[in-house]
Amino acid sequence: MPLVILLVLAACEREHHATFEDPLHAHGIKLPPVEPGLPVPAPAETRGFPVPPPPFSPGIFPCSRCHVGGEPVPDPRPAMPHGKHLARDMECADCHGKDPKVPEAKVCFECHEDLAKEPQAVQAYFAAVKTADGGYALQRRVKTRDVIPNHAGHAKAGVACATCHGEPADAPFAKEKSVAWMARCVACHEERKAPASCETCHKEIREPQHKDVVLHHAEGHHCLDCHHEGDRDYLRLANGQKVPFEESYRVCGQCHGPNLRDWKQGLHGKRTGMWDGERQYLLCVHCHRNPHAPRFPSMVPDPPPARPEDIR
Amino acid sequence: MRFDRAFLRFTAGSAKLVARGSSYYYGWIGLLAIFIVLGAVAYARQVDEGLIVTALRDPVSWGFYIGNFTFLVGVAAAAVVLVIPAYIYHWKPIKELVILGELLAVAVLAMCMLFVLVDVGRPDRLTHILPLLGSLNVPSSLLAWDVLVLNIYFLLNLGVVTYLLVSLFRGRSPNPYIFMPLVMFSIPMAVTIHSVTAFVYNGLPGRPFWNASLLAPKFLASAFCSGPAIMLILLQILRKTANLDIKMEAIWKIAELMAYAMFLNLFFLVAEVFKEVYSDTHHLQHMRYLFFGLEGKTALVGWAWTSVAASVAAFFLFLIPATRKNLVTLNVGCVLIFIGVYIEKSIGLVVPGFTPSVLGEIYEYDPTMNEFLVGLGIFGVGALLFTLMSRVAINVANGTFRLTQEAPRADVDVPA
Amino acid sequence: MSDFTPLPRSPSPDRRGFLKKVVASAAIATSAGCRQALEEFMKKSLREMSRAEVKDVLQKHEAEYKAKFGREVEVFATPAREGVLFGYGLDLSRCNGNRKCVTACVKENNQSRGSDDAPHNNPIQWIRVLEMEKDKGISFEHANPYYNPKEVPEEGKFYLPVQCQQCENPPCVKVCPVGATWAERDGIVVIDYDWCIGCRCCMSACPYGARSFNWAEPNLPSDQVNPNTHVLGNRPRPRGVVEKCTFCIQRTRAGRYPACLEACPTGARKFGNLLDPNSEIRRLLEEKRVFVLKEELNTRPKFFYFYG
Repeated sequence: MPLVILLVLAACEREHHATFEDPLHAHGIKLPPVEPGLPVPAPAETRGFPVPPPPFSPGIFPCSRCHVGGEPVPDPRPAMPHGKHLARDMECADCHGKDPKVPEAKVCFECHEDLAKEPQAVQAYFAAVKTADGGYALQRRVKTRDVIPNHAGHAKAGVACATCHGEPADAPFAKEKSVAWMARCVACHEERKAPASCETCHKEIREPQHKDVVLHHAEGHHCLDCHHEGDRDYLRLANGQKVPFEESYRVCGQCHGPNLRDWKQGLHGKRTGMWDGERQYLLCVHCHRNPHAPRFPSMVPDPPPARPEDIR
Repeated sequence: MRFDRAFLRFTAGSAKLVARGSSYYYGWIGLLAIFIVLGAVAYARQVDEGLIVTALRDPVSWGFYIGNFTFLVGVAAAAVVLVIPAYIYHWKPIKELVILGELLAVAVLAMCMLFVLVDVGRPDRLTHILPLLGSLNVPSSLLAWDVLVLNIYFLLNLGVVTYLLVSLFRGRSPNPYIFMPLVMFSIPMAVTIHSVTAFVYNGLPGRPFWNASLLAPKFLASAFCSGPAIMLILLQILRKTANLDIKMEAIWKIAELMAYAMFLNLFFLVAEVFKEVYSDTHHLQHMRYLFFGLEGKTALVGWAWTSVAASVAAFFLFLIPATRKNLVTLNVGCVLIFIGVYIEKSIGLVVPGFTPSVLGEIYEYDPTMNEFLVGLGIFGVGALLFTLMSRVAINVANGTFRLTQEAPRADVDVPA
Repeated sequence: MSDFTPLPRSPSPDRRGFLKKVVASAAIATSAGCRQALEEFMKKSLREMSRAEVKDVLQKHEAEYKAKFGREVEVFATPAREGVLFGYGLDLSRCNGNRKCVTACVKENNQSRGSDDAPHNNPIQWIRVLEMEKDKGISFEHANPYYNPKEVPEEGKFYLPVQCQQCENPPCVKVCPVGATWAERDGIVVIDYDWCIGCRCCMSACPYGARSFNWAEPNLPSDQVNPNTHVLGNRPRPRGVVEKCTFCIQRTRAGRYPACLEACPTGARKFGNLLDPNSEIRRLLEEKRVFVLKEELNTRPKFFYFYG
């Protein structure tokens, strides 16, 4: 049964790719028609009146289908004590080579000849990376999803290891990646006039998803400023709090405070229904239809009035 | 014989009197009849299709009809110019003209009412605006007041002339205790009708061209030119055609009064132009449209300058005694005044008030043939009324139309 | 008393009533065939009618429209609600001149449509959107209602929609010679289309160009009639009378937002009860700096413009 649903969804996806022109639809998702009264939980800010579903929400086709979701899993294994190595005047390249890669275990054993003579911490580390067949596999601790930076290219361009990796402490990779990571990449790319499109790093972006998403919002913003990194079916606030798409106005309101205040009072945005009873609040994205370029679009005006000379 | 029976005889006699005349008379009546028929046909078309057959539209919602109404109210009011000196100062030469002035007022007021009638969108609901029958919105609506005072003024003039004529018809001198209070009352009423008409425009703060306190004084000043100008021409026509004994002294006196009135009219115009031009607020737009045109739209410019030129020229013709007392220049002056004031008080008053509109739109109002024909018909009605009434009046004044005790009916001696 | 807000007026209906009875009896005595003319003559303005008489009028109009349009048209006379005074807000920084409000208004309020097929092309619109130049500010001299670019808004322009401002001190009401237009208790200035004589004094008096005249028979195709009407609002109008925006009296007295507000894609339009401190319009007046058009004329509009 689930397989059938998946097949149907895939078919839909193909179908819709052919027709979608709105950049919002580049996700390959059929947007539910905006109809009043659909069951969307009423946000507290609308005094209990319902809001129609936002024009884009991950309802039937979750983002997480592609963006493998979930929080980064804490790695229980001990961290590589980089600090101690560097303290012995070693260079990164001594272990990682010119084309930096995770060294093989034998590189370690060039110095650490006899494990039994090593301190307890080193013994524990190797115990942890021991494979089933008795060998040692030193692997990347947290996968950066599909992004594998071209280290040779970076080195050639004169980017020091520390520019990205920082001054390696004992456990630099045990930390969660922060949003600032990608922002730092992009900032640096832009500063050095290096290519900075999504595909530069995200090699696996499939056509045409996200291809049409052009960010014409405030300067220096990036996807993960608003989209929750760990769970793409949600948005996020600056403090990392998850926000459902139905409450996207909370995300918008972080910068557009006066507008949020006005919207709550009915001074900004549109409401329909009863002036003295049940009315429907529209969300920011109902009018600013493309949150990636939220500027209100130009419109074709309705025809002008007849000139008095033409009334006859 | 009692007054009421004499009145019946007077009416019957009058009907006979106006039915007979020279071929010129019949020709004139026939011409007016053609005008009236043309007007009636045009009005029938307007009733059938609506006011869309006019050039009036939302931006300029009053035009030719109301402009004529305004001008004619002034003419009607000007009868007072003849009444004041005649009755208050007992000027012999003018007294005989007063009856004609009041007849003119009656005929012109009838035209005024017709011009209002043809202008309204629902003539079938005219009872709504009648005193007592309708729901006249007094005291707040100036148009309601205008309807009231015009009706009163109309009845007043009609009453006074009827009384005077019937008295003379009976061979008696009119009882001053009856008609003098009415005449005295008609003087302020004349000022009132024209002032109230001015106030209809004046009380609209959204229309700065009209919302100037000089409007009512200017209305009166121009009325005291145009009304007598018409009277002077009519009197000369009647002198020729009806043997009416009119002394030149009276005509010169009237012309002199007109010169003063025209001076005031021009002075008020200068005062208004100065105020608007020097202040240079957006109120100037209307005057600019009238005299220079706006955005290349210059429909009124020619009319406006014609009006000013005619008024100034007439002022000098009437100011200088030599030209005032010369019949040719006097008549030229009368025609010039008529042209000047007619333009100024009709199209030159109404249309610039609406142009540009309150939202800044410039619609060039250009009356349609249908409007002209309806107007022609109304002027035909007015002229016919005046012709018939003055025919009776002249014969009464000449003593040729008198009640004779012996004969069972009034003897009518029709002059050639 | 009638459903409608009575205003002090004269002469008193009684006196006129007596006079009419006298004339009417005479008319009956002379001719029985002129009943219709007599009915017309005996008619009173809506404001003076009793509840029962108003009901008769509504039924008469419903029958008339059914005959004319071949479909049911309901005519209501919903009275003003206690404690309600309507106010409108318009956000000039949002309006982009798309004229959706105008289209919605024409549709909702049964205005005459422009047509080349009908005997007359006489469209009527109650809302007029003015294009103005940013460097000239609000200046009607430089306004253009006929703008028609491919897309709005245009560079350097802004847009100012104007409709009836529902003045507290309405100059149009003052000048009407027959009292056919008046302000209701909830602040809506209405017109009795059966009483208006079409003299157009009110159009001269209105500083906002808000009133339109039916120069010819209105062109309203049967299939486009909005059958939900109010007797003082959007019911089909006869020729030769004046009409104007009533804040969608047929909707707003039933608690709904006006049609122009719901049609506005930019959310520039705000509406509510000025007497309710929590209403959107009151919040607006308290939070924003608002202005009214032609304030110097002391018309005291209840239509407020603001920059949100």
